[in-house]
Amino acid sequence: MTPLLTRFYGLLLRTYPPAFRAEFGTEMQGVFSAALADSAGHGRTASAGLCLRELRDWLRLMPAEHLSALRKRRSGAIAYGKDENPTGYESYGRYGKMDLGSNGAWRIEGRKETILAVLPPLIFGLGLTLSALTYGGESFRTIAQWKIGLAMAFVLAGALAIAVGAVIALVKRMPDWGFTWLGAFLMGLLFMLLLIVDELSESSKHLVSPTFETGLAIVLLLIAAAALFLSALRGWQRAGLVSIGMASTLALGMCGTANAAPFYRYDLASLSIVLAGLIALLTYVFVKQDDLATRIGVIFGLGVLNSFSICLVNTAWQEHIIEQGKASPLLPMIVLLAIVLVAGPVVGLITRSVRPLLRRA
Amino acid sequence: MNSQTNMQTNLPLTEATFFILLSLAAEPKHGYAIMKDVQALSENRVALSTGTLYGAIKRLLEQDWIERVEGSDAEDEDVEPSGRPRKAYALTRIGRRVLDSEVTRLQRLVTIARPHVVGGQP
Repeated sequence: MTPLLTRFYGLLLRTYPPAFRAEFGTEMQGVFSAALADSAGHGRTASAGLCLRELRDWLRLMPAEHLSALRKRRSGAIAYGKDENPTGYESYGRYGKMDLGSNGAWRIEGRKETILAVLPPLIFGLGLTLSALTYGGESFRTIAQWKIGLAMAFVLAGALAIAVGAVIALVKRMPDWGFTWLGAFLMGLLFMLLLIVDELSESSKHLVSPTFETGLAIVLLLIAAAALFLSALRGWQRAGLVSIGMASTLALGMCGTANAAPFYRYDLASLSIVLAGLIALLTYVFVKQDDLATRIGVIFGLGVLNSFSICLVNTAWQEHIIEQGKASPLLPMIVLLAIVLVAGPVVGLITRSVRPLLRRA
Repeated sequence: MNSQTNMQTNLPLTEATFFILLSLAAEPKHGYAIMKDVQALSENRVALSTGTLYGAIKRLLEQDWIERVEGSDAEDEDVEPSGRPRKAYALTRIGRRVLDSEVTRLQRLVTIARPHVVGGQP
């Protein structure tokens, strides 16, 4: 097992920028091998803890090192800004951020950070509503091309903004507000993949091949699950935000499908911004209220809201589904949304007892 | 006064930075020794991964808070499996001053807080 893990670590090292790898790669490999050999003497839990720690930090540090290398290439200088923290980890005072190695307290204190934490559903909802209003219920066959372009641009701009926010959060070593963005981004990727695959399948086309599509979907699902699990290791509240980001993106995405052919229910799709506003309001309460009962109440409230929105969109789906003789997706969708919504908090609460063990390991 | 002010702009240190600098205060150490030392000094609260450790080392080198040196105290451990000398790191004069300033800052905080929280007068 040890040689396999060492080899896997070598692969992770290869993802760092070449300059960083050249300077520290051999040392890092040596230190990892020594730490792994050391932990092997303390049992499998210790080795698993070590590997999880490496994987968690790799997710945060590798993009940051690439960004740092990019900055250096652009500036042509080694010097960092004088205020920049030399470890790359934000200090308590400036950023109100948890410190390395601990699970840390919940630190979304300022108004700016709170607004950042609730923004992703609003951005996505706004994009969907603007897109629906641009279509205005016209059939894709008769609508002007520029309207299609503009409507798509609204949705893509929202998705792109969320992607950029998630990358910034990753580069900043995941401040607490970033967890909503990460969840929204990952679910957005998955949702977009499913939409593209669905569109292509209507004209019997595929992204490379059906196997590739399935593989890609599985990889994205695994990344989302890993992100949820790693967030859960930093506390159930953070994993809760990832779940909220994921579930709200899925619910809003579903709401947006009411506008698609053959439904053309732009009136329903344009309600996305209302749904997004309510989700943002509940997320705000989740962020600001520091007691378990309120947060569980918020999760429950979001579940009800998501279910209501799916029921609403189902009024558009229903006729078409009955026509095709297919089973209603209403119940499976409600269950899926509920699972996504509670997955983060539940995994976070389960891993709460495991975290001290992993830290000791 | 000016250098003191400049030093203050680097504070407060994160726990990880503080422990890395503290680990190097006594003597130069190589990466794995720093990692183990940080864990011991922090009473197992701060467990560095290799990525975190070397990310920090890279930035501390760029800030001239630490420097690379030849070997450390344990001669037989200072060779990598490849036979190359293992790199060790030592605090620079600036790094030591930063560490001293942080310790002073923490001491001041404790002095201010103690009467309020340990049975003293509010």
